[in-house]
Amino acid sequence: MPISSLIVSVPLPDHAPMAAKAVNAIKGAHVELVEANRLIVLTETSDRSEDQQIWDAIGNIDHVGKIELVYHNFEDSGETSR
Amino acid sequence: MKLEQSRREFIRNAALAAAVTAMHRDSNTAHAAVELPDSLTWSKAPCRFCGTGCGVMVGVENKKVVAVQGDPESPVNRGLLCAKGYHAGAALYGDDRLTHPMIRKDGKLQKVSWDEAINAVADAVIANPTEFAIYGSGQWTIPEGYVSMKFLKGGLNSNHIDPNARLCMASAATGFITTFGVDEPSGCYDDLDECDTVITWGNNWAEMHPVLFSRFIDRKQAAGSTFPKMLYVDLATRWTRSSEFADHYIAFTPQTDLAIANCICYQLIENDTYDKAFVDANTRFKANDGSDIGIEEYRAFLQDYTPEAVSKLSGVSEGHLKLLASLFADPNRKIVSLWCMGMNQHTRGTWINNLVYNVHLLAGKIGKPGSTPFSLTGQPSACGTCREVGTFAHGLPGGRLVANPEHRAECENVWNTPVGAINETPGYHTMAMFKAFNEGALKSMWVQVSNPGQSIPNLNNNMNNAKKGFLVVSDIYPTATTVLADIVLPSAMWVEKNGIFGNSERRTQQWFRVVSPPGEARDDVWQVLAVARRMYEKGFEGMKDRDGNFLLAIRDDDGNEIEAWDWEVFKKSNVDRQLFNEYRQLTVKKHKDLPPYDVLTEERGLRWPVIEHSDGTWVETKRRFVEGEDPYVKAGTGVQFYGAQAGDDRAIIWARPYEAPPEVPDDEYPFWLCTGRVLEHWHTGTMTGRIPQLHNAMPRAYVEMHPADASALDAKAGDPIRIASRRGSITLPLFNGRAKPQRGAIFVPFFDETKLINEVTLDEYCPISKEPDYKKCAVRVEKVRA
Repeated sequence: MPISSLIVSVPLPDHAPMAAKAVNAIKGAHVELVEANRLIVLTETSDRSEDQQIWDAIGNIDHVGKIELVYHNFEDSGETSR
Repeated sequence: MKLEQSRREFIRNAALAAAVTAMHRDSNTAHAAVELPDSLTWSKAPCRFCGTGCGVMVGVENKKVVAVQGDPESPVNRGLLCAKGYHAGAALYGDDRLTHPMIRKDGKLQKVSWDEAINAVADAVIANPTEFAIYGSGQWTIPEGYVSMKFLKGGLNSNHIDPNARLCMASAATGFITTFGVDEPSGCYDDLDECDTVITWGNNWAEMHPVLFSRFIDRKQAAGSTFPKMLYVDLATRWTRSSEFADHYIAFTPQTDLAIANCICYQLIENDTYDKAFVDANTRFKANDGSDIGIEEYRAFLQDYTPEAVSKLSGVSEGHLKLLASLFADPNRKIVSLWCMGMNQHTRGTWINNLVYNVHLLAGKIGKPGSTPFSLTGQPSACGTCREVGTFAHGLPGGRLVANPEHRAECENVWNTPVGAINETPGYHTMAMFKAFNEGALKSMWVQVSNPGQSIPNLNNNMNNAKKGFLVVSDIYPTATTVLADIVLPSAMWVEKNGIFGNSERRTQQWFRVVSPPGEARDDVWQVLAVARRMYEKGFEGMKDRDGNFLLAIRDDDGNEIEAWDWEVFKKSNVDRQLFNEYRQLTVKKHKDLPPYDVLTEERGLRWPVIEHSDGTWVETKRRFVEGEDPYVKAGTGVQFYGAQAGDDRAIIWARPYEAPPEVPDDEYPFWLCTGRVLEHWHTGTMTGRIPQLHNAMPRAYVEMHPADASALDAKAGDPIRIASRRGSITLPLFNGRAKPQRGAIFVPFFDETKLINEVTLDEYCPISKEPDYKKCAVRVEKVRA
């Protein structure tokens, strides 16, 4: 089960509560911390192909400007292929 | 293996702690160190992808990389990673890794032993040693590039070696050398922490260098509207994700960046707002033909570049042109100019680099914290391995040149080659190399860590249709180049081998092998040593040093030769350490001093020149040419451009004119074509294409066009669009989800090996840097109707 941590930025602190609510509505994503205009999000997915779907979904939330990636554990995710 | 609950909880906590640490990377608040899962073995490494040089912590369990984390101790990225770095570990495990050597027999690549493959390569080189070439890479590690360069220049009396960095930053190198006399940036990433203004010149750093983008944008967003307001100005030919964050998006007609830079200079001179004291003390002027001129002649040259005239040429409003000049005229503004391929891949790439330096020199915005022109690089060691090691066709280590007899003698002494071993004539640069290979002037070529079958411009003319020579390719995955090869050698990748990279800010970073390569894949360094040794054993004179010993001998600390050509010996040894310590002898006293290998093992990289102080510590240099920071600057000078070829410590302000591009849209081919990269993929996609998340997010190439142009074609998203130039054609789906070109322009990424846009591109290049222009040519577009 891949586990990752992300930092999601919105332009203004006022945007953060709405963005956090929207992130928490995404299956596999959970906001762990909100500080000013930045959110720390943890994701847990059943396989790595779901990671990108979560990032895409977060990227489509209103006001989300940047998604920065910090930690990625993928030890039981199997091999990659095209 | 599925994660147990307690272990999952632990990893969750580690991931959370890492994110908290990264989020507070700029604050002074103390935070507990991140506790990484202790069942994993963690090691430092620089990222495998772009030239930013982010630090990555690599977690290994059961002999496999299973986790990566942005290295919180790295001064480059401070714990953050972009999408590519985040997947760097997964890039090792594509299921079609090359795992055994192959030789083409009866038209098919067939598995052979390493012994047979090495023998075949050695025979091919021996057959035509001076008609053999090595095409290398900005992804070579420093020892890889060094050993290949020494093998060829020291052993074959030939200089036919050139890296793919010719295609991405050669213009930056020639720009530095013609302006400052020496290569590579004076500034560093710290300037992004101290500037108040960033101007990007044709650079989509939000997607191509996202960690650096965050470094500035986070500060800017935190500063809000405090005075003086931090500014981001995006000078570009296409609206991108970077543009979304810009205070001023300034779109210009392709190629007119030359005129825009001159227009800024015109205003600084005419308005008498240039930094007279700085200019008088540190610069001199030259006409385009290299003759010396004075400021009045330079002023006369600039009369063609009034805001009114340049506005008509470039499409930029006079207001924006005046804004740009006013920013540089403000003595209190601290400005960083950034660029990458947008300026370098240009038929006048050297000139536009010179012109941006002109702007900063006239404004005195260089050599001060927060003010610098800074060229970014696209590959992890384009600076370290290509520019510093000297793997270009004209170069030798430490900024030396093959054409200089003293430089050749210095290398011959360190290498202990016979006198005259190094040829004085520069070899084929990349574009000439492939022309010679396809026309038969070169009989054989060894491609290492690169994919020219996809990345060379005008492929139909330069690569795919005319290959006559014998092609050896070392790589990790099948590519558009391996399918053309006569011999394929499987290589180790990234942390499957020891390595050293040099990033954009002169930072040299070392890492150790932490896992083994798959199957029979082996290090590129070993491959070169094995071929060289086989040639030596066959009696090839060039592989002997002055004393008749093996030219590429690797010795232990006691001076005893080790049989590094034997894989079993090689993999138990640290050959990188020996090669690097030999190489660094050629960097000291050349203002590019590198520290010993063992020092690098303890550091998250050091920026050269790195000098040993009397207390035994090795101290890096943040900013070159600056008193108090650069140890080579004389006391009392403030700023000293000590590389000046005239020996006067002055940088050159060049009168470089606007020149029209060689191909412009016309009635038959009415659109501009620009090519480039995307966030998800790195260059030709051979690694990122193996990562499902990245591949699925961007599986195939596409064409972007302005909505009004799409509407005129009656085309909607997904419709097939045929793009044709005078050289070739391609059909791609229309996609307008991310960026927006100007009217009359389209953009196509080049990562997709199934859709080779380089069959369409032009192969004209800068006559000084020999770097081709992938950013502009004329094409016709039409909707393909069923």
